[in-house]
Amino acid sequence: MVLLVTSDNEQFQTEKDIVERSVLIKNMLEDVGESDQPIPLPNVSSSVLKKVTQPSTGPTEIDVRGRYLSTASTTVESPSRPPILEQSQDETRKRTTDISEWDQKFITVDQEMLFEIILAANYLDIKSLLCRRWLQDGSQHDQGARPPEEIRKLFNIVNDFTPEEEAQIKKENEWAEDR
Amino acid sequence: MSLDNSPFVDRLNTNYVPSDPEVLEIRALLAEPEIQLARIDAQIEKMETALAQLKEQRASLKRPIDAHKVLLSPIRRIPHDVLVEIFLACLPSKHHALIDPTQAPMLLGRVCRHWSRVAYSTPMLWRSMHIPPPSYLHTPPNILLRLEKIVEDWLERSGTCALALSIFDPGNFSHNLERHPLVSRLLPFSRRLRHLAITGDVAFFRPLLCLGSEDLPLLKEY
Repeated sequence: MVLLVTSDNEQFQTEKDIVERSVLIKNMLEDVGESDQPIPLPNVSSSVLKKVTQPSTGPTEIDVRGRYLSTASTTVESPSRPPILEQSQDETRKRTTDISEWDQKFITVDQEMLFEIILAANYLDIKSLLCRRWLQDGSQHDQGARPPEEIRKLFNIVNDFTPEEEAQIKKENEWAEDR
Repeated sequence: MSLDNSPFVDRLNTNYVPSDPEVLEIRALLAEPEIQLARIDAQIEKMETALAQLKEQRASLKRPIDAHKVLLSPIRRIPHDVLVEIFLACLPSKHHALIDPTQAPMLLGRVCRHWSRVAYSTPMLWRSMHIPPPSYLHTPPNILLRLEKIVEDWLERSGTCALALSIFDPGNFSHNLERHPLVSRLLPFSRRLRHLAITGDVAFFRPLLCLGSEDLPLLKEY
């Protein structure tokens, strides 16, 4: 067990395999070695840490990039599909590809909490929480990306493109539409 | 007189035909309740008018409140570097990025100007690309030119990043062409190629395949 201390001075006894989802904490533990000393997390509040350290039910077969896995595996012969990469393009930026139920729970949190989780995920270096699912359409079976209109609506983003920029975007889209 | 004690209760919901005196009696019976009904209708109308006015007031108050709340939207406060991390996490990990406006990275440039600026100024987002085989015989030339422009812009946005490209063209889409029309667009970027996957007719990609090691200093995988 690892003892974590949050910004509001709450202490959390957490299982090592859970906290090691955080690259930051994992590195700290490796540096410090076995120790009873608490690990301070001055940038993470207790409410956020509770969310971030909820026990995982274990990785599922569902993959955040499942859409690609499934389409690629069935259309590898398709001329419009790229070959499957043997390995990540850049090992230094290798990302976790599994999404567990643990991660999926965060799709439904309110925007303030989402914001806090994103900041905490960035601080704790939990790449799986910075994942594409924020932009994914949960209502779609294939977990495709949300269209720009939906992303704007979800995050209260105003479409501030000028008519000229809109026209340019539309032109670029024509290529995809024409395929 | 209340209709609860009406002498016609037993006749209600039947096909009974009242006599002339009974008709007079029924009319007299309805006089007071009908006045009451009209009074209630007037009250309802008044309340509905008041409700409509309140709803209008509410809407005119809510509009600016909502507009101001939008300013507080958490996504606006996400630091640039974190937004970049999220954008990078949106890229496919199992294959090169697709030239598809419904997928990252192109999608990210279509939400708002800020996201567009962030996306277009993050070379790492554009370091991989899969070039699909358009039908060069059947696709209108202006659309093909657009694809070429997209490819060119994409590669420009990748800055100085090492590139991972895949290009698929079995040749049957372009059998009357001497070489792949997009190959010439890729040549100026050869020095940044780290991974290159080519599927198709060798002759079709000859200009790319003829490059020497001095032109491909970063190439690790081919």
